[in-house]
Formats: sequence, C-alpha cells, structure tokens
Amino acid sequence: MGSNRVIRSSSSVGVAVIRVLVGLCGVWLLTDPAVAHAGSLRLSDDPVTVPQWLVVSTGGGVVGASFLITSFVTDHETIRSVTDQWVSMPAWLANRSVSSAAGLASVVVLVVVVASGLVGTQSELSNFAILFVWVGWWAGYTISVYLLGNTWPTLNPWRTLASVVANWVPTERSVPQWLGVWPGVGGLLGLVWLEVISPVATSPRLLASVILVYSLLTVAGGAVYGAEWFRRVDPVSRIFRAYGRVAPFQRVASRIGLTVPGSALTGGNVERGEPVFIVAVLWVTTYDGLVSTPVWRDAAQWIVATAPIPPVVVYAVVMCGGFVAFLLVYRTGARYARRTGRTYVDSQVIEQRFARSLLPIAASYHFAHYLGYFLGLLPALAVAVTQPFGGPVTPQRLLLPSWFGQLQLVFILCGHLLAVWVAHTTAFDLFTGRLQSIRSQYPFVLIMIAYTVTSMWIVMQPYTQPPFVS
Amino acid sequence: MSQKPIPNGSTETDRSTETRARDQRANDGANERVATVVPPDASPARCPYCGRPFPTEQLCTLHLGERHRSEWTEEERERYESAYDTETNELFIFHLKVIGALVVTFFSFTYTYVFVWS
Repeated sequence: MGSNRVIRSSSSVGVAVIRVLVGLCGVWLLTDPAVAHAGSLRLSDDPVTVPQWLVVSTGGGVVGASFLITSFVTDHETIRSVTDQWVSMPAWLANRSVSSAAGLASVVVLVVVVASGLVGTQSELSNFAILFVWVGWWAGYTISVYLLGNTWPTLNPWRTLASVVANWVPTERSVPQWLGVWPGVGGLLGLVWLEVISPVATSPRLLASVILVYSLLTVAGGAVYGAEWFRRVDPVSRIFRAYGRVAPFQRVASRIGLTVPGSALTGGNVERGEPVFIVAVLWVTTYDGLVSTPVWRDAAQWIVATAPIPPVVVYAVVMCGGFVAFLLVYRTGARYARRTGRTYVDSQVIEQRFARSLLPIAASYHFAHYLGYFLGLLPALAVAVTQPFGGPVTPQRLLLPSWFGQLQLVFILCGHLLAVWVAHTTAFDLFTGRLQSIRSQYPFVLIMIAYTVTSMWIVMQPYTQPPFVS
Repeated sequence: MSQKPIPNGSTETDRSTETRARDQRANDGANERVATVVPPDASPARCPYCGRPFPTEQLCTLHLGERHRSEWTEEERERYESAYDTETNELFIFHLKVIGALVVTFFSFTYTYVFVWS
C-alpha cells in the first residue's frame, strides 16, 4: 500500500508539473506587457502607457498566482528532492593556505583603501577608496555573495587582524546572552543611517575615517570576543552570512558543495534572534530606496518645516519606526499562520522558520538596486585600480541600454518567486499534512504581496536626492 | 551526487564539534521536538510516540504517517490510509478553488489591461 501511494503521488506530480509550466506561461504573458512598459516610466520624456498602480498590482498578482501554482506541489518527496541536491566541490577550495593567502591579501587591500581615502585624489569618480568600497565591495561583492557563496569569513580583513591581535592579548570572553541579536541589528541600522545622512559615499576622507573607526571597533571586539563577535555582533559579517544562505555554493563543516539556490534557507535550526536581523536587512534595503523617492522628499520637507526637529533625527526616527513596523507586521503574520494553519506549533518557531524566506526578497532588491550602478561604474573602478592615488585619466562611465530598467522589475519578481517556494518548502517541513501546510502560508503570502507592491513602487520612482543631507 | 551533509546554516569554520553535533541533533528531530503552545481550554490529540499535540485527530493520524512509519501499528497504518484519502479529497476541492482563483486573477488582469490600453 505504501508503494501504491508513491506511484499515485508521482503521477499526480507529473500532472502538477505540467500545470505549473502552463501556469507559468500564463503568468509570463500576464507580466510581460507590464514589465515592458514599466521601464519607460523611469524616462520622463516617454509617454506612459500603463499606469503605475497597474504595474505594481500586476507584480502583486504574479506573486499571489505563483503561490496558488506552488500549492499544486504537495508531495513531500518531490519537495525534498529539490532541496536535497548536493554536488561536492574539490577539497582544495576549502584549503587552509589558500584562505590564509586570501585573508592576507584583503588586509593589504584594506590598507590601500584607507591610504587612498586619506591622501589620494578627492574626486569621487576617480578615487580608489570610494569606487572600491561602494562599487566593488558593497555593490559587486555583495552580489557575488548571494549569487555564488559567502566568502566573507575567509576574506574579512578585520577577522585576520583580530586573530593576530588576539595572539598578543589572551582574553577570551563571550558576548553577554541578554544582548541577543540587538548589537548586530543596531549596528546595521546605524551604518545604513550614516550612509544616508552623511557624504560617506562621496567624500573619500570621511569614508576612510569611518573605515578606521569601524576597524578599531571590529578588531578590538574580534580580539576580545573571538569568532563570536563576527557571528553575533558585527553587522557586516552577519549580513553576508544572511545573504550567503541564498547562494548555490554552501559550506558545511569543511566541505563546499553546490546546491539549488535557496535550499539552504529551508532546513536547519535558526538561532533565536535571527528573524529580527533578517527583518532589519529587508527594512534597510527598503529604506535605502525609500529616502530617494519624491514622496519622501515632500514628506521630509513638510516635517522639517512644521516641527523644529533636526533632519538627521527625522531620518533616524523613520529608520527605527519603519523597522519596528516591519517587525510587528512579520510577528503578526507568524501569529496568524498559527490560526490559518490550525496548528499548535509555537508562533515563535513559525517566526524563526519562515524568516529566511524573506532573504531572497532582500537579495533581489539589492540586485535590482545595485547591478546597474555596478556595471555603470565598473570602467571607472578599473581605472582607479591601476592608479589608487589618482592620476590624469578621466574616468569612463558605461552607458546601459534603455531596456535595462525593465530588468530591475524582473529581478525583484524572481526574488519573490523564490521566496514563495522557500516558504512552501518550509511549511511542508514544519507542519503536518498537505492542506495545513498550504493554509499556514496565507499570512506570509499576503505580506509578500504587500511588500512586492511597495518595493516595485519604490523602484519605479524617479531618483531624487534625499533632502537636507549630502 | 553524494549524500548531502546536514546543513547547519553557517559558513563559519571555527565552530566546535560539540556545536555541530547539537545542530545535527536538533535537525534530526526537527519536527518531533518542535515547541508547541496549546490553548488552556483545548483538548488536543497527542501523538503516542512523540507527544506532539494536534488540534484534530485527523492531523495527528497524518503525522504518524509522516514521522513514525518505522514504529506504527497495523491499526494506525489503516487509520493513516483513510485520513490520507480524506485529505486527498479535501485537497481536490481546494485545488478546484485554486484553479478558480487563478482564472479570476488572470482574466481580471487581462481585462484591466485591455481597458487601460484602449
């Protein structure tokens, strides 16, 4: 009888796969015109053929439809067979001497970046520090982390420096448990706030000073608290670890393997505070886009005109308020999942298990936001690499084709579709039966639809310089 | 294609063997040891093997088939078969509604586009 079930379910899987393909074609037909015209919305001199509300609601509709289509995949074995793919990579990739060489090289790069920021040319489009940090590292390297794998523990120069310092100062303490995830979350919100309100993205000297302060803090923390500092406190290491979970290359113990992107998001235990950090990652990527919209400009100008609050405080309050709002919405979703799924599983467990399904969304949002910036400034970065302290060559900027803007919306949709699949897999792993697993996803799907609509709207806004800050 | 090691979600290289072993144990028992909260006025159906509470008898029976196949009795197996069939029927009705929702979504968007473009 058991084998009978397997045969029956595998034939229904075949039917489900065909339905999924047919459905996806339908969904594609549905999106294509919207996407084709959405890109033109960024160009103000082009006639707008599709109103914005229709484009963003189509995005929401595609995410909702993709949930409905995945609800046909109900066989536990099929779902597990997708996540369990694993191809081992050659062992030399995880070789200790290769990683120490990479660690040393990144320390050298760090020194050059700081030196170039302090004494190099102060022109933002030819300064090595500015181009390397924002174009090479924050745009390009971060993309490699979620598209390939998290190499940051190996490359992190502060980790190498901290381990050297730790040899001289033999103190081994542990970060107090009651601090939980909050130092990491606070650090992340603080760094993004600083990036928005100060000219750290345009002034090489300021950037070098910020790096120096961060280096002092991180090396001291890493030397005193050891690896725990990088695992729990350092926001940069945490964000790369989170993004790295989306990637196809994963490291388990001392082995590196290739797996289906996103499958590392579905299993394993999640530490207590991780959902809070993931929600913070999602919020800061949204915040980054939100402050460069015309709506924000008008709102901020109105607030500053009516109330005697310094603009930087307005930016900080919105940063914290938005984060709390995101967290509340997510927690409410987890509580409702308990009700719609009719389960006794603790809502905190639900919160922890589903949080990682938000990571593909954050990654796709980063990708849509930074790929054009990265490619456009890549020639300037290439020039700066050859002349870290400035030279006579005028930097080139790569002009991207006009259809590139349309791709952004496709990237965001892909991230959301992966998120729907990850949530589906998680639900089938956590809950009992097939209907309960599907119904438990209702609140999260609603949240994802709302978020798709918001993020697509932000991406489609014309870029506006955030007011009051440089 | 080799056996996939249990992922512990971390790329850190310096985790102790003890931590890794703990992760692995937590993973093996992921569903059996999952934390639950039962409302005070409820009378849950409990799994005879792991004690996990369920709001309905049917869910408890389905759980036996998903997690305890190696230890269940003949009677439990038969109950599972029937619970599975009941769920399959419910799922069929559910999927009919899903197809309905997909059709409605598809056509409402198509008509909106036609309306907007004309």
